[in-house]
Formats: sequence, structure tokens, C-alpha cells
Amino acid sequence: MIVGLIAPSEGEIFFGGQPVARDPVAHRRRLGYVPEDAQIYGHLTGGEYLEMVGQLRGIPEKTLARKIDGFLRLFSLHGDRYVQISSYSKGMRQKVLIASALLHNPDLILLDEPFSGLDVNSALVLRDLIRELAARGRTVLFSSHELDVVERVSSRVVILHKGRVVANNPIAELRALMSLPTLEEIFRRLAVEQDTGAITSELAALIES
Amino acid sequence: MDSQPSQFRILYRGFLTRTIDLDVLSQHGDVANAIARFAGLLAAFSLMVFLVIVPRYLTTPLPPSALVYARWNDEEFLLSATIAVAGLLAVLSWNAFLPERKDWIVLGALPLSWRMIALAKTVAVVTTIGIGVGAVNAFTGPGFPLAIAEPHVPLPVAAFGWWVTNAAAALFIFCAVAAVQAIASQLLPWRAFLRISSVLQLAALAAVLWWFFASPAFAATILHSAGKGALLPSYWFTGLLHVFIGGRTPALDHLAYIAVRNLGLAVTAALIGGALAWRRNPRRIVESPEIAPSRRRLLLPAFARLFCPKAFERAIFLFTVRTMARSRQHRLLLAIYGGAGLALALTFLRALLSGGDRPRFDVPNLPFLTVGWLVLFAAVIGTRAIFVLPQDAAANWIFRVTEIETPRVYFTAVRRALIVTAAVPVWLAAAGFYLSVWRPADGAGALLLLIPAGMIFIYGSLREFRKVPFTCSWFPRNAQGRMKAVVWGLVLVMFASIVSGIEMWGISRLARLVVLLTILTAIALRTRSRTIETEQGDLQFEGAPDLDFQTLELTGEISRRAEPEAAPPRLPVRPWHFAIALLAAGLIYENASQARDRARFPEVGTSWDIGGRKLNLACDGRGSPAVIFEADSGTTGYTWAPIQREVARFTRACWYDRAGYGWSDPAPFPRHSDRIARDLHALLQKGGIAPPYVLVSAGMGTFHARVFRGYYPDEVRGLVLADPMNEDMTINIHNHIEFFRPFVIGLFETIGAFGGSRLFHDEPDGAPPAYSLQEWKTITNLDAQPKSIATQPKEKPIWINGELARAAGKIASTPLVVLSADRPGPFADEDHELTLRLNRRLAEQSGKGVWLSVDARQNRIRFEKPEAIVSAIAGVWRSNQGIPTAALK
Repeated sequence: MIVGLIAPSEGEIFFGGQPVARDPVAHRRRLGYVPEDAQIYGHLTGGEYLEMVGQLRGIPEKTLARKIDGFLRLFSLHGDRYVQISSYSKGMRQKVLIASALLHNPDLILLDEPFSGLDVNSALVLRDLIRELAARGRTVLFSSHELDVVERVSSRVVILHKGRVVANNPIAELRALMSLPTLEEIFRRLAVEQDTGAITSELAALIES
Repeated sequence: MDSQPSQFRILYRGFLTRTIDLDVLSQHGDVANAIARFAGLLAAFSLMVFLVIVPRYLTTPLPPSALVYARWNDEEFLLSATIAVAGLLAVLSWNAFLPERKDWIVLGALPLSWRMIALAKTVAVVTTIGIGVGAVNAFTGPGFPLAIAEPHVPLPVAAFGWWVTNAAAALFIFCAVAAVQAIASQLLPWRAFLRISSVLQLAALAAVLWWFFASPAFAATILHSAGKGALLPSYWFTGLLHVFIGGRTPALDHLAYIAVRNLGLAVTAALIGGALAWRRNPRRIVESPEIAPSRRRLLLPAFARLFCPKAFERAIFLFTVRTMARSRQHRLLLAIYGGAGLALALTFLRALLSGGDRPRFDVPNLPFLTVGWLVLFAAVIGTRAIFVLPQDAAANWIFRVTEIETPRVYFTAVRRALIVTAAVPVWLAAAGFYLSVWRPADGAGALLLLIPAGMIFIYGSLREFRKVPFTCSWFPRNAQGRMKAVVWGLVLVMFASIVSGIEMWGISRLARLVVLLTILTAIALRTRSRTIETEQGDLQFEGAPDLDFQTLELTGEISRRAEPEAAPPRLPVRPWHFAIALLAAGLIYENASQARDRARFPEVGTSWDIGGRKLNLACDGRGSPAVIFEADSGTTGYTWAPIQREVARFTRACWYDRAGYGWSDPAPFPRHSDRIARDLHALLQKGGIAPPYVLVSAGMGTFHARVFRGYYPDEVRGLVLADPMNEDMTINIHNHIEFFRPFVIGLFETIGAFGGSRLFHDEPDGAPPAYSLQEWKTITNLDAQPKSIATQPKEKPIWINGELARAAGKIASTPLVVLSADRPGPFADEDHELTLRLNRRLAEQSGKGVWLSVDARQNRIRFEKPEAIVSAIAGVWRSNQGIPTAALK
């Protein structure tokens, strides 16, 4: 809904004090988006895909060429830039998608599970990048199941459980409020109802049966 | 071990659904539906063929022996249809019988033997082909053998033979395709094979299509050049068929031998190649590195920059081209369209290689022109058709989140992409081709016509296409548009020779080319504006799974535009501007041409004012009575010039132009024999040609001469009527609906004033024997003048002239010669014999009448036998001098 792929059934989304639906085009200009499951045209090469996205977004030619080159180098994709994405690993695709979402210097960056498939090195870079972008005034909205990463990167955490917001606070505030040391503990308290230990032992029994 | 059959069954079912790139047939993988639709299509074809072919054999009064060759051709056609279907399916299921990476990844981890996987895959392909072959023979299979089997062959044997032969033919083509692939995969390094594989696939497709569409007629080939029969599979198997259904000949037996031999070879090659491939390829597949080395491609971006200067349009264009170049599925479907177009084009080209009146290839000819626009049409329609085949529906979100331009910008980019990918290559090829084989002017003309034609195809095909290519799936409700394209294609092919004929007419002269180009451009603009009208609203992404949200069924609610869209940009030129430009150009063209004609064709004779308008009179020789020539309908008196030359040797001989013809001024409607006769009388008086006269006339002019005699009986001393019209005939062809005649005349005058009638005039290359070329050119050009063309309807209806001639009374005592051509003319009277009888009766009216039959075609005596008219004139003239002649006895 924030990206604009589906329409909200009720309610409104505001960004920068303006309802997003009022001018979707302007909203899309300011938005960078990385979807969850690395859906990308496999028949294009990394370079071609970034070029296409840049051209669709109307980035001036010279700037675009410089940015693509830079992104490919920094994400260590430069050696494979003439290779079709269908041959890329999941991590490489993820990097292309992240690059394509950042090409146009967006104000709002929406990352859906951005760390999945990334190698350790890239994951560390991305983690610091998110923090850096946030420090430079961009809004980064990302979802993740890796709670320790979330804990280190985020200034504010929203926990959804069965479609309802169960927490919406800055991390530090949440820790103090729940008087629990880590996000994982908080999450366990707020959202997990089942006894994970019991499920684990039941599963082990089923495998051996 | 009873788990093995069930394993096989599961594998087989899995492969069957994957055999054909099912997306080609149906988007959502609804296999049963796709197969049913596909089989239904083939069965419908079979029914149609059955209804056309079988009744011929059951209802014919001819003995079976007379139908042998017709039967051969039908048999070969049906077998070639079987081979085409089996071949197409085998080509479409390329890779489906060899091991693939997918098999290794998914099945390699399971406890299955490779042999079972290989068998399951092969049986799946064979099943698909079997369904196809069964469907394409659904009606002809049971019906045709019964209709054509020799009487002594039991019907079950004939039916059995039919199916065996068809199965053998299908098996052959399947094994041949499989063998080519399997052997290539063994002989070539793995990477080279992967690259060559798709080229091989396209080549196989081309061969299959060519065999079906462009194979020459079977019976004629076997009878006249038996050696050629060895080239075509459908020929071999027709030979094989006759082993079962009887009617064997040595040539057919030889073909049957080739069929069996080649089938054996193909099966053996496929088995050996397949076995090797399944033994060796899995390891090669696994060992090949996953990331293919690749290099930078510079050509395409440079090309894109040239044709799409805007970066945004370049993005859409490059996406289009790269998808077409890299997706096997898209390439294949495009190749089917292109191949069908090319094969059709080849059948037209065959006329250049064989056939009775073979056109010259180095001057504009119908086959080359047809190939040009047919390939253009196939390229545009084929490319447009694959646009709706999605490449990777799940990745379409990128176009939606980057949609910051108005939809109109996208549509423009899509149009440009279609122009550059489909039309530009054909235009470039056509330029190279036409300019190298024809004179530059002709080549350029043909090329120029292809440009608006291509734009019409492109704009027409993009109506209501509000998508980015390859992002949206095919939807049944779009089927109507596809049907339209098919219908248009059929119409174009059916009337191909007319279309190309118009094209050829257009490039034969600059003025015609300008007219044709203007009309085509106006149509292209009209198509463009109509297409742009349909481009209202948002980009469509229907059919694309909305990532994970597909089940929410929230489609079409997205990307509402904040502000209403501006009106579509209008071109400064509208179609009616072209009409005005065309009329203005026509006016200038007509007036300039008239001025030029006055210089080219100076007046022969002298113009005399007969009261407000002038008539042209041309006399030669001395003597009396003067011979006066009256021309046939639609032509100048100058056509009498060769005969006038001969007659002028012994007396004064004059021809004149009736009002509106030659160098005479036109006169208002009506222009029937009465006014014409009075005009002539006034002219002769003004021109100082004193009576008496001998009147000579032809065709409809004979009515005018007879009316003149009726008005001025004392002045006419003789009549010579060549190929006269007869009032008893013309009274039968009159029609009473005359109210529109003034409109027809007005229309002719208007068309003429704007140069229209001139467009339809061709300069003659030669002249009839008695004329010089300059004379004949003068005559044809004078007759093509707008005033002459508009005068023709003014002198009609003919029956009025006929009745005026009847009213002029019988020619009792005037010497009269009636000349009748003894052969029917090109536009023959239905009843030539009756015409001859009536002519004879006309001659017998006069006591001094003679009827002569001349060896010529009707209405052509003055061109084919001018000496007969001259001697008739001499005879009539001498009888006036009191000299008896043989001709009049």
C-alpha cells in the first residue's frame, strides 16, 4: 500500500504530512522499494536492469552511468555486469534490487527483508548503509525477521501480530517499558503465544517416527 | 517393484504438462484447457479439409482413373499437414526429450533412474504429437481413405494403411528433429551447443513451414521431374501410402522405399543420439559453470540511441528488443509468424521461377512487391502478438513503482519500439533489395509506399494496447483483436495480387505515386488518431500477479491519476489537409499537362467556329464527291488518318473531331446523332467543303452518318459503314434510368479537372501497322483528355442514336457498303451471328447496297484491314463517277 501496488480499503497513508494518494506520481518519485522475494527480470544483465530503471525514472544520462558504475563496483557486481541476472545468486539479485531502489536518491526507502540471501560482508554494508541514510535524513522503512539486526539499526520498531500493531515505539523506550534486555525477548513476550520448546520437541519426534 | 510403474506415471504426467512451452498456449498453465483448444483447432481444420475434399470424389461423374492425379495431390497435402503438425510440435517441444538442468536439480536428488526419466520425457512428447496428429486427421482420417482407395483394396486395409502412413510420417519428423538435437549436443562442446541450439530450432521451424507452404504440386513434380520427389518427406510417405491403398507405380514405389529407408535412418539416429545424450549430457550439464561468461554489447545501445533519442523511450525499446532476443519462447512465436509470412511470400515468388508467363525480376513485378508488404505485415503482427506474452509477470512491479510519466509517454515509447523492432528492419531490407534489383526510381517508389503501409499496420495493431510489452498476459477478451488481425491478414493475402497491382500501378509514374502516397499517408494518420483516441486511461498490468497480494483481487484500483489527463497531442496535419493538398496538386498537374500536351500534339487540321464553339476539320486531296470520315464513339477523327492518306490520292478526304474530342471544343449534354449531324453540316459549310459527300464511319459513328443522310439526303452520294451498330441491337441494351447521367458527366468532368483521368492513361509502346508511333501517341493522348472522357457519356444512351438512325429512314438509292468483321472482338457481342445478319439486312435496304465480310476482329477493321475500307470507299466514289467496279457487284 505504501508503494502503491494495492489500494487501501480504508484509511489514508501520509508521508511528509501529505496523503500519499493525492499525488501518486510525486510519491513514486520519492520512493525506493526492494520487494521481498527478489522478483527481477532474469533475461537482463545487472547493468541493463539498472540502466532501464534509471531511464524509466528519468535520471540524467551521465549521472545514471556514473551511479550504475559506482553501485556495481561497491556491491562487487562489476565483474558480472554483462551477465544475465538469471545466472545470479539470490544475494547478487538482492544487491541489484537494492541498487535499483537507491539510484534516484529517494526520500523514503522501503526494504522488505533486504538481508535475505546477502553474504555476510554485504549484509554488514547494508546494515551500516541503512543507518547512514537515516542519519542523512532519509526515512528507511524495513521489515525483517532478524531481530538482532533490527535492534541495531532501527530507531523505531513496529511489531505486528496477526494484523494488529502490538508495539510502536523507539527501541530504547520499548526496552525500558518492558524492562527486557533484547528485542527478541520483547517480541517473544508480545507476539509469540506458542511454547516454542514444545513445538521443537514434537517436530524431532515426528522426524524419527 | 510395483512402485516403478507408478513412479513412471507420475513423471510422465509431470512432463506432459511441461512438454510444450505452455505459456505459448495458455498463461495460467491450464493444461487440459490449452490442449483441448489446440486439438479443437486442428480438428476444425480437418473438418474443413474433409468437407472440401471428400465430396469431390463421391459426387464426381468422372471415372476413378481420371482422378488419379487430383487424388495424389490431396493425399500429399494431407500427409504434409500431418508432418507440419508433428514437426511444429516437435520443434515447440525442443529440449523436452533431452536432459535439462531442471531435471537434475529437482529429480537428481530422488531415487529415480535416468532411463526412466528419459523414457517418461520421450513418451510425453510422443503423446503430445500423437494428440496433434490425431486431431489434424480427426475427420479426414476416417473419411478420406474410404473415398480414395482402389476398388480391389478392402476398406479396413485402406484405413489401416492411412493411419500407419501418417504415424510413420509423424514418427519420422519427430525422430529427425530429436536426432538433429541429440547429435549436435554430442558433436559440439556443451557451451557451443547451447548457443547453436536455438539457431537449430529456428532452422527446423523454417524447414517445417517451408515444406508445408512452399512445396510444389506433387503429381506434376513426380510426372515431370521425378528426381525432385526425393527432397520432400511428404512425397516419400505419399509413396508409402500407395503400398497400402493400391494404385502403385514405379515412381511411387521408389518414394515408398525412400520413406522406409529414411524413417529407419531417423529412428536409428534418434535412438543412438538420444542414448548418448542421456548417458553423457547430465554430467556435462552439472559440470558447466552456472554463470556464463559474457561480454559487453555495444551495437544495440548505439542503435537504440539512433532511433530513440529520449532515454525513457530507449528504456522501453531496449527492454523489448532484449526480451525478444533472449527469450526462446518469444523468439519461437515470432518465428512462427515470420516463417508463415515468409513461406507465403515464397509461394508468391514461385511465379518468378516457374509458371507460364514468367515476369521479369529486374523490372517492377507483382511477386517482389507482394513479398515486401507481406513480410512487413507478418513482422508487425508477429511482434505485436508476442508483446502480450509475459516475460516474467512477477517482476512487473518495477514498471509500476517507476511509473512517474503519464501513460501517454509509455504508449508513444511502445509504438516507437514496435516501429524500430518490426518495421525498420523490414524497411532497411526492402531498401537494399528494391534499390539493388530495380531502377532507382522504381525501387524508391516501392520503398516509399512501404512506409505509410507499415505505419498503418503498426497503428492499427496497437489499438487499445495500453501496456508495456511483455508485462501483461493474454486475456480471452482480447481475442477479438487477434481475430481482426487474422481476418485482415487473410483479406490481404486473398487480394494480394490486387494490392500489389495497385502498388505497381503507383510506382509506374510519379503522379500516380504521389496520389497513392498521399492516400496511404492520410489513412495512416487516420489510423494513428483513432489509435491514440483509444489510449485513454492508465497503463494496464492485468494478469500480473500482484506479488503476494494476488488473492486480494484488488485490480485496476491503483495509480489513479491526481489530475485529469491533458487531451492527446494532435498532429498539425489532419487527413483532410491531404485531400486539399491532393486536389490542389491535381489542379496544377492537370493544367500543366494540358499546356504540355498542346506543345507535344500540335493541331492537325483547322478549327472553324460554328457558333460559339470551334470544331476541328482536316482535309487533304482534291476531287468530288468529298469523302467525310465520322469517328467511332470515344475517339478523335484523327484515327482515320492512314485511310485518309490513301483516299486523298483520288479525291478530297476530310476527317473532323466531334465536339469534345481531339482538338474540338466540348459542347453541353445531350450530344446525340441529331446534334452531331447538324454540327457536321455547319462545319462543312464553314470549312468550305461543298457537297456532295461520301460518308465513312465506324461503330456508333455509323448512326451519326445515317442521320446526316436523313437530314441532307441530296448531299450524300454514298455511305461506307464499317462494323456498324444496329438499332435492333441497341434498343435491347438501353436503360431508362437516365436521371443520374448528368451526375456521371459532372463526376467525370470533376475528376478530369483535378488530373484524375490522366492518372489512368498509359503511354503506348507501339502503334497499329498503318500508324506512326507519334500518330498513335497523339490519338491515345487526345482520347484520354478529360473533355473526351466526359464527352462519352454525353453521346449516350446509344439506343437514342439508334432510334434517330431508324427515323432517318431507309437508305433506298444511295450507294452503300457495309463491312462486317467476321470474328468477334475483344468485347464481343454476345450474338455475333445476329450482328452479321442485321448488318447484311442493312446493306440490302439499298438497291445499291453491298455487304462485305472482312477477315478481322469486330470493331477492329480500320486497324487490321484498312485496305478493305479504302477499296470500299474507292468503289462507292467510282460508282458516283459512273465507273462500275467489281467491289459493288
